[in-house]
Amino acid sequence: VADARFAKPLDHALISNLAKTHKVLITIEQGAQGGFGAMVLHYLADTGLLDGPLAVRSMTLPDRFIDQAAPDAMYADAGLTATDIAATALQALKRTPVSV
Amino acid sequence: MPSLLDDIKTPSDLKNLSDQQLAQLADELRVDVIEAVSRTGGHLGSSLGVVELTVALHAVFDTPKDKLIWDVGHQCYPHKVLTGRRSGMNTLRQEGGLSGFTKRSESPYDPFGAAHSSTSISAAHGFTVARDLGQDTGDAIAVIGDGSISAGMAYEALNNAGAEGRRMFVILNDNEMSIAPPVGAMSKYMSGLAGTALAQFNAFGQDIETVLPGPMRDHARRARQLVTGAAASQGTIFEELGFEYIGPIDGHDMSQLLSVLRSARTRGKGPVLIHCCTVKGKGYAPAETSADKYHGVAKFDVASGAQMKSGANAPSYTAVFGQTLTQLAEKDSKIVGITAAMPSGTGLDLFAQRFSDRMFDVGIAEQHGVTFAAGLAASGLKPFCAIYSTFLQRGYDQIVHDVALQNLPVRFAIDRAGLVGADGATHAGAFDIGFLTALPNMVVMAAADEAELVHMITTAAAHDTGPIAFRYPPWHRDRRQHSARRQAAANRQRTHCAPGSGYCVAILRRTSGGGAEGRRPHISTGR
Repeated sequence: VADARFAKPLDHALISNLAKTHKVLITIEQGAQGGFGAMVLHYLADTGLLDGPLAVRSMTLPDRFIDQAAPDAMYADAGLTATDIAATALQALKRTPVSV
Repeated sequence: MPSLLDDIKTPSDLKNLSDQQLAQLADELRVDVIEAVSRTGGHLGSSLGVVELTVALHAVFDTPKDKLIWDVGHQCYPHKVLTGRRSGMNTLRQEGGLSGFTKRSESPYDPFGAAHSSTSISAAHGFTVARDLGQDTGDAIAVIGDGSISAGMAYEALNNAGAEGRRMFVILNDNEMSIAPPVGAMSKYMSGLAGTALAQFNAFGQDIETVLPGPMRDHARRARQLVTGAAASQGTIFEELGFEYIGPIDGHDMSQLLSVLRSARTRGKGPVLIHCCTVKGKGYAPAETSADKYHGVAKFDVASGAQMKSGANAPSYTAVFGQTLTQLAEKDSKIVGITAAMPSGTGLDLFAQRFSDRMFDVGIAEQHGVTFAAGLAASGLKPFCAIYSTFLQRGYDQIVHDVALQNLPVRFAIDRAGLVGADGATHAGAFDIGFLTALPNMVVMAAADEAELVHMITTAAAHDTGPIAFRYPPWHRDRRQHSARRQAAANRQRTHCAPGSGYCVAILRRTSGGGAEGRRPHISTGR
């Protein structure tokens, strides 16, 4: 897991290196679509890093408003829990989901 | 005495009650709201301040055909109890339960949702124009607090509605408090109006004065002259904007409220503003005597007023921000703090304790706050503009046009990033990464933990060549979830940092020995 810290300016060297040395790249943010994941996708697309074998997934808040609940429950509703992240990773790796 | 409240299923049931019974009902309603909020927590003080007003408005006007619009909406608990939601009050602000604000999908008696402030007059003007264009809707009534009216949008609406001259009603709920005591000249101005020897008598607009009994009319006219000044040509600011001004009146005196609202409803032709003085937390001693008037409370014991604070939700990121900024400011006299009516919510109250002359609370006025910060930055200071993610949306053109385009080094400290719990969708910090990364010149960071936040504040202080923003969540990391993440990640790679408020690039399987594992981004964090 790499802590990006900066959505802008993006650390191009880091992302490029990660993309070239891994099969799967997943971006995760506690924010709506069009944020950090989008910044990474633009960079990957523009530099041809999406043209190869790399599987990319972008995890964001869903494209809907989420009503009040306990914070954990809201993130479960949003599909951004640890379990969701693991499931996304496993799906991207085309492996059978296992409980985390 | 038998309970009147038990027999109120909808506001139409109020039409059968005498004025005296309405006053009794208000007393019962106040007790009911206190008991309900003691079990759920919520916005108590503002709701207690409008108990009588809520009863009187529903008794006089014809809701839901008439559109009653509560600004912000956090004072709507008595309104919810009277509009068929009494049994649901134990679910307030909880999953699947009632919203803490007005919400269109929840009830036909909530014609317009709110949670951010200062929108009610604009919305009421919309309903008013729609009525005049033939839509099947009655009168529109906006209830707006003196804190909420400090935002420019409220004046834009008054200006527009006053010029159009259509029949609508604005109730100015003047409790001299928003969350913190309101700041600014407008607040002082209204305090002046309210304090003009009118404790005993209500002043009415001239048109409405004429329907009052003789002695009362004389008092009203005299009081009105006190308010509006000796010169007959000089009116209140609301009159100058085209509104008929009525008040100030005692918002806890049921007979006064009923007579004024009935007169206004009967006689009002154009836009009418009724200045209604209330006490935040009215009728509940622990709230009335508390500094914040129990604006937002946890569950509490009704007898003692003692709140059951949850230690797990301690806003440690907020405190870290306030403490760190204060430490940096000790060494850098150019650092100044800006808040939009949220000194304690942003942690800037800590900064203000040490540097009161370098801390600026602009009121609920994010547009002004952002451009004010831009002016400070343009003159060489280092402004930290601390605004929640959800409220920063209100100052977006100012961020684009005044800050980013001019490449001015305003530091945006963005608390409440991500989902926020009981306040729900209206307060979610969902969009700031997108709307900030879209802007040229902007630097955007997200803290994964408190230590990283400290570095980012330091980075922001040092970054003096353009705007920079850093976001952080409302709670410190959930340790249980954090350890679960660590466990999951440990099976694959060393964890550098858990995903906190922001974003991470997760790498699930390495294909070669690239060496990314131990790398950090090259950009300085000021360590």
